[in-house]
Amino acid sequence: MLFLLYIPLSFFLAVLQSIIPDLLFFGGLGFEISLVLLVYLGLNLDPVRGGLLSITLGFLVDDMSGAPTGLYMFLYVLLFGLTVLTARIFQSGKPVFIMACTLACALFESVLIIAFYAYIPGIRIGHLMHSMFVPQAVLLAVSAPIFFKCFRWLEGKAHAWDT
Amino acid sequence: MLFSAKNRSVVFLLLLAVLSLVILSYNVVHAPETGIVRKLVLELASPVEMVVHGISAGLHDTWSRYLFLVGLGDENRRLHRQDDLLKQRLIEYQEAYMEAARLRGLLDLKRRLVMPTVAAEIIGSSRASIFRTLLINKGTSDGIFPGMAVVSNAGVVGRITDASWDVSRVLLMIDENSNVDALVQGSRAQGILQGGGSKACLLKYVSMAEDVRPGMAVVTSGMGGFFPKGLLLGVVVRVSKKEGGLFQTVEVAPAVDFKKIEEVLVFREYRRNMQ
Repeated sequence: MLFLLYIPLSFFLAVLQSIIPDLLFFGGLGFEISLVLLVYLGLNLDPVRGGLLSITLGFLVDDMSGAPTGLYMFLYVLLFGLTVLTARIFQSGKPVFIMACTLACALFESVLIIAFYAYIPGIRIGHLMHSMFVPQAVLLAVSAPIFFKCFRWLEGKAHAWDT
Repeated sequence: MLFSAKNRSVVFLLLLAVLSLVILSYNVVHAPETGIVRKLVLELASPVEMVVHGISAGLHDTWSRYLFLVGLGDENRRLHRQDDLLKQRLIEYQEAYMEAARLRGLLDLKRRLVMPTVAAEIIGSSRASIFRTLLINKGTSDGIFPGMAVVSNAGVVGRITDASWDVSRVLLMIDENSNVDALVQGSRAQGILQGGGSKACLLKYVSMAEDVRPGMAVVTSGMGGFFPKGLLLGVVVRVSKKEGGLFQTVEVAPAVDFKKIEEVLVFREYRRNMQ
């Protein structure tokens, strides 16, 4: 049941990532820490528990970002599945692998968001790809190994407390 | 067994993806009222947002004062300490004066508006993602529901997209998902004002024949069902006409400074009347 501890962590990250970018980047860039958690779950958890957590995390991000309910739920389940698949093929915990995985996920997510909005009449956000999504993805990828260390530390503490 | 253990997890993930797609489709097509779970999450998040919002304001204040004091000598420091005390008091008075002026403006606006409104404070903002939103400290218990128009004394702010019991989310008019039926005050040319994110808003579908010039005010047309007629949206800053095109490109600067906004009014009855 230790994995249930990820739910409050997800909530905290979803709230934090809606505020922190305004403080650090004055609204110019987003910082989706929940995506790093998703990659972490994909590389460390089994598909059933990870799948449930990713859909919950997606719901929280939908709610906190003001996106239509289901958008991030779908994106996160899809990205989680892809990360699980990647983890099965490569099986590596090296920082470079974590960074590459996070970068790929963040870019793929941006493409899917742009594609989703292309189907909604009157909304075109394609121009945000180079001005917002790519810098965000790079920033997230570079900082991902640090967050992985934090998640591992938290997991270790929770495990020690549980035993 | 129908599926092997390895395939079972793949099927489970596929089911989750289909489920989330169904939820997304339903929400995009029907745009229902804010659900109970979504309301709960908003309620739970609001205290954290309020605390961080307060801390950020405090940090900004501290940083400004640090920059102000850096580089001064010991003698100046002693004098500045005394000066700071007086300044602090002055800042407090100024803050109170500015708050009173803002509230007086809001009260004037409230008196001018025939429809019932609810005053609310901004308790959080999210301008970093593709969704530019604000959180206000009023919700369904104050009669606020999704779809209601939000204004400040400077003009239109946006409309409510989510409302829990005591907190609501406002989609800003500068968000690219925001479309408001508008008209140019001088020429009465009608169009749809779409948010431009960090750039100027775009007034779309304005015919080439219409006379639109920079400096003209853009107001709500009263059509579309969300905003009453005549609320200030912004001012035309640039007009360009492409040869052979059907419509002209009209760029509009929003009337509201979204970085400085602190209090707003929500039209409580308008959306219901429209329904």
